[in-house]
Amino acid sequence: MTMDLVLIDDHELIRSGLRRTFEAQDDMTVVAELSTCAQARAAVWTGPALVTVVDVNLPDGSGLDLVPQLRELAPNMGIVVLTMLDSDEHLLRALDGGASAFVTKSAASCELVAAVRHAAASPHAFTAADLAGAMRRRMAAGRGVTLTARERDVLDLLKLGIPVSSVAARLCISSSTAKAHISKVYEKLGVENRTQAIMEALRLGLLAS
Amino acid sequence: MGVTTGVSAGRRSGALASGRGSVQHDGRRQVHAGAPTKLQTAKPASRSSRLNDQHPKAMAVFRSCLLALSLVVIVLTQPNTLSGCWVIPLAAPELYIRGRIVPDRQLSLLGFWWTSLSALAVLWTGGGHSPMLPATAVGVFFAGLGGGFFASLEASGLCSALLLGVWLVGHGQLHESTHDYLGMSAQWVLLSVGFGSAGSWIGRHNTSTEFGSAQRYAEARALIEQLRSVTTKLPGSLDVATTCEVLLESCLDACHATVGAVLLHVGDAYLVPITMRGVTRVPWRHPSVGPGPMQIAWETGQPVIDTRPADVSAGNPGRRAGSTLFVVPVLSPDGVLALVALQVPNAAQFTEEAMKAVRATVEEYAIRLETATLFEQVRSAVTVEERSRLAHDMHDGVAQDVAYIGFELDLLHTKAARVDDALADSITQLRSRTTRIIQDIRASITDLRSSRSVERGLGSALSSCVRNAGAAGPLAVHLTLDESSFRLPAGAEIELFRVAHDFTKQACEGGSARNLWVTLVVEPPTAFLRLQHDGDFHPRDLGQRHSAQRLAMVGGRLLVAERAPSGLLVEASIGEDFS
Repeated sequence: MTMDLVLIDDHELIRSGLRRTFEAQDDMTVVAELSTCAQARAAVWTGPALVTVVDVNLPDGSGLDLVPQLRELAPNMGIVVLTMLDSDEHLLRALDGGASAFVTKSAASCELVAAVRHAAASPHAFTAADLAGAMRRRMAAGRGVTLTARERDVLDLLKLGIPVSSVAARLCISSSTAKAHISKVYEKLGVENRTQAIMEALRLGLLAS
Repeated sequence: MGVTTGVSAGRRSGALASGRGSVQHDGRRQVHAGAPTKLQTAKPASRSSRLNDQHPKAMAVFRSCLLALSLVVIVLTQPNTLSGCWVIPLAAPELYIRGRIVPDRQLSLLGFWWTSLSALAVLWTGGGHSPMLPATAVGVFFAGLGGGFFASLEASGLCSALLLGVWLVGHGQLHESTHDYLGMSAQWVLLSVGFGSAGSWIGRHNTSTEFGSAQRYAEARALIEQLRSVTTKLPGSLDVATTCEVLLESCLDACHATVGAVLLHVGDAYLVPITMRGVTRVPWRHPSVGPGPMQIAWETGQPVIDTRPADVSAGNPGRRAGSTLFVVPVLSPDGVLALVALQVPNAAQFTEEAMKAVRATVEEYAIRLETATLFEQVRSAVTVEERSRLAHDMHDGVAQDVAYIGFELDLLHTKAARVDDALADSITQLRSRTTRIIQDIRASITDLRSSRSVERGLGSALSSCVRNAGAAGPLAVHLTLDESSFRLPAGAEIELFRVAHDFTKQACEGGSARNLWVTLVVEPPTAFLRLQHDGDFHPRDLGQRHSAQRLAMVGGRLLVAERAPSGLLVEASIGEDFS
């Protein structure tokens, strides 16, 4: 059975290289080439063995944000995330978004073709080079976080959704000091806002759900 | 493969993620905040100018209506055939507005000549009953049109002087007919003032309509000229470190202290010791860590003096030996900009006069420090933007091109493998090299973005960097972080990060390393970074000249040596030697 492929990448040269790579395979056909998230969302996702290869950096958004939308549009479609800058963060976001595979652009073509075949066969199973390592590092990073008693107090109050001034008042400290504690909590958890901090703290077991 | 983390007890726990804002990249601070400077004196466009810019056609119609009204007034006041002649001079300004046939200064001059001649003509053609009286208003109108309101007033004054002066010269004395003449003249002089005002108003709008954008460029140019002038004529400089040095020296001189520091506020609530005297590390408690004089000064914005008696049982140096700390906040309109801390062994040294002098010095330098900080932010923002642009261009340009070549080489290899094994092997080697090039480009992109990476703190950036290194290959990463509550200057953090980044990249590229050890100790204003790997050692690794030069620019040193029993050792230090 022939696999129909859709390529989403804003670089024409890369699309050209990918098309030639896939069409060199007997069972793969590139049926569409798109260059933006908007085009991808507007496309109708049908077909029994459709696989989409999506770049991360697109002109109108991130391919990583596009993945969950594509998954919703076509639940049984294989989604391969292709990126120039690989990192644990990208890999894990692709996993969380529902992608089927994660491949870097520096990888050999055979790796990419194998990832596409995997995505077609098991769209809901994720594969990536060093996935286990990324997971292990994430767990190790989480275990390393320890908060002081004061930071735990601040985090507990943040969970209540009260403003910084109220946090300061309840702890009998100034707003500046409260902000410093909050910054420290964000820094230790590796997050940038209150919601992320609470979610991360819950995930790491630093807060009782 | 993996990461092990060690954290020194009592200092900093869970240090894998350590991020703080930085001086340059604090997006919450507005560049134009603070005390007014010369740069803020640019006159904003008036409401009427904006109206003219937004509705030029409506304003043209309005001007034409005004012209028509003027003609009606003239015809009603001088109902004779000569009135029709005034259409020509009164239409001239409109022609001027439409086509700019006469430059502004020449037009103003023309107005003055016209006014003078018309005043003389009035005297020659009948005085108070002369049909030339309205011509005086036309001249004033031209003067206002070309030279503005004050030029129109000058033209009116000239007209009055001529009408009165020449009359007196010609008639010798005042008599009954003089009253009629003076009444008519005064009436037309007043009218000419009105015409002059209208002319200046129309002239201003004409300029803003046709040359609005050029005017804005001229204003921008003037502002840049002012900035250049300000930066070259300042008594000090716009460098934060130099300003802090001078401030601290002045404060130390004022109270004869030998120990002191200037700690600059960055990010949300962090302090960076920019300059210090008499100590190698900050011996006082960070405001966010616990109560103390620093915290009180930080939170209240008031100077604080704290005397600590000697702890004879401890027998330790530092504050336990007994000392007095005087903390003076440097205030800006946004709050506390920095803290100046001065320490003396004897409280008597801080006399009222000395403290008053210190406060006065700090007050004097507050605006300098704030200006230097703002300038640094602007300069850093430009640098960061440029680096981001380069990173973006590399990512979207050469990196994609090389990736494409990689795909093509794979295809070529498939075809070559069917006919010539040797050729296929060569292509495989070429493909391997291409992959390495892509990884190098990727590393360079990361390096270009490194100034953004350290926004959240050196420890955090370093953790992320080595984690990625562990992810990219079979490298076990051993990371130990020991960071103070205070931060290093942003420039020092960036350079240390680059050293670590380059070393990590080298360890990954070598392929032979199995372990990477990273130790970071930050005790502002000093810091120590030790990097080791157990891969192959190459003599060329010793020549990290560029890293050493960059580090030297922020007061650091770099040591590169062969690691025993194998591998490479790099030590980078800033400030005092940790060894």
